[in-house]
Amino acid sequence: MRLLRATYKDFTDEKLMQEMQLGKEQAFQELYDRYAQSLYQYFFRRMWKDREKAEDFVHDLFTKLIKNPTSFDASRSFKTWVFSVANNMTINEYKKQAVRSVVTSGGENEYQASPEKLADGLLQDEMFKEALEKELNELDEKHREVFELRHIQGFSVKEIAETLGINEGTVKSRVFYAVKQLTGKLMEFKMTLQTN
Amino acid sequence: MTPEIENIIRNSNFKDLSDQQKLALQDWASSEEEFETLQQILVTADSMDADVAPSPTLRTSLTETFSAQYGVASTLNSNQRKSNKTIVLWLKVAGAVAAVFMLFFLVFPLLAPNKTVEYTAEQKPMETKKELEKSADSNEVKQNNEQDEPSTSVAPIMQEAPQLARLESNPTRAMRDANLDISTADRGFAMASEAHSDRLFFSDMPDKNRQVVQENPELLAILYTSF
Repeated sequence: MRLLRATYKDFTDEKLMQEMQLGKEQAFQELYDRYAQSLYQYFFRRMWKDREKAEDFVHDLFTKLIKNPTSFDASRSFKTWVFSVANNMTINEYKKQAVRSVVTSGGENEYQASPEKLADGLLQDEMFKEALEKELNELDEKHREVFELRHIQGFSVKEIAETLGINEGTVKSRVFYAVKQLTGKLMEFKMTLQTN
Repeated sequence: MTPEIENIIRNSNFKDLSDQQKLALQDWASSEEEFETLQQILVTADSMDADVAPSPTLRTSLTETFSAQYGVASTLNSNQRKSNKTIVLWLKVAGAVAAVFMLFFLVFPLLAPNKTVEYTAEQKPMETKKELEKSADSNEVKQNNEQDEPSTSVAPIMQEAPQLARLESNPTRAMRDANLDISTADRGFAMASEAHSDRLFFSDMPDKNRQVVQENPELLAILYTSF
């Protein structure tokens, strides 16, 4: 069994999908191992950090994969295909919700910290992380999703373009805009920390 | 952002950058503050949601869905069944080994007396053989003695006495003598001999000497005092 798993580990995603269509459970397990975590993180971020909802979405996506494996276009990369399915699922969810909830809230005072706390580097890192989360949520959807795919999920520009169905130039310009926006806002945050 | 630019931002200090690198980064970070902020954004983004993971029940649930869809036994369940089978197999083996040991220890006491009987049965012929050899030896001594001139005088006995004292030191010989059908005088001689540190056995004496001692019991006292 271990040998069998080792063999599947060497398979490409696309080959695993073919094996899965033949009813090979190990192929499914391998695909799950490769994508469940990153898909969960993707949904987690897109579904307002709702763990339960993120898990429901991962479950629904893999169930679709099991019930209708032929929906996968073998000419495409599995990674970009499965994330494009995930992206469509979130868009549909947004339409259902109609109004997007902003989980993180708070004013400028959120960045305020005492000098004692500032001495702790780890705390500063944690605060910077919270600030980044906040500013990400402040970005508009199209810029936020490309930034998340590029710098949190680790997608290439080409993969983002395929996933979102847009051209690479658009991806690049959106990433650039998102990075510049975030850098500008977070520079202000760092200056606030230093003055305190 | 090309991978080269991203690599420079992630792994360099702004002060260490060459003019050429600064020029390439111009669009992304024109100042040291901007460069450091961008660096921190990229590093922080890497660690975002790293601890976010689906629950293990999700895998189980999906595996069951897969099994139901394709009509195959779930690997998770079959692995469990296999492990249960293995446990049962090992328990059977352990039970069999325990049964064999119990049987052995039950049968062993029954076999032990038989073994003793067999042992004595084997030993008996060997002892008979030894006795035969011994009698053959004594016959030989007898024949040698017969070749000598028969004498009833005390002198030869006195001469042989020290040799007799050195004849045998094996205590089992005394026991054997005790079982022989000999007279009280002989027994007394044996006892007297045995009482001495250098043991003298009546049975070890040549027949002619034994005869002399039997005819002259006073020699016992002489022999006893001579040792």
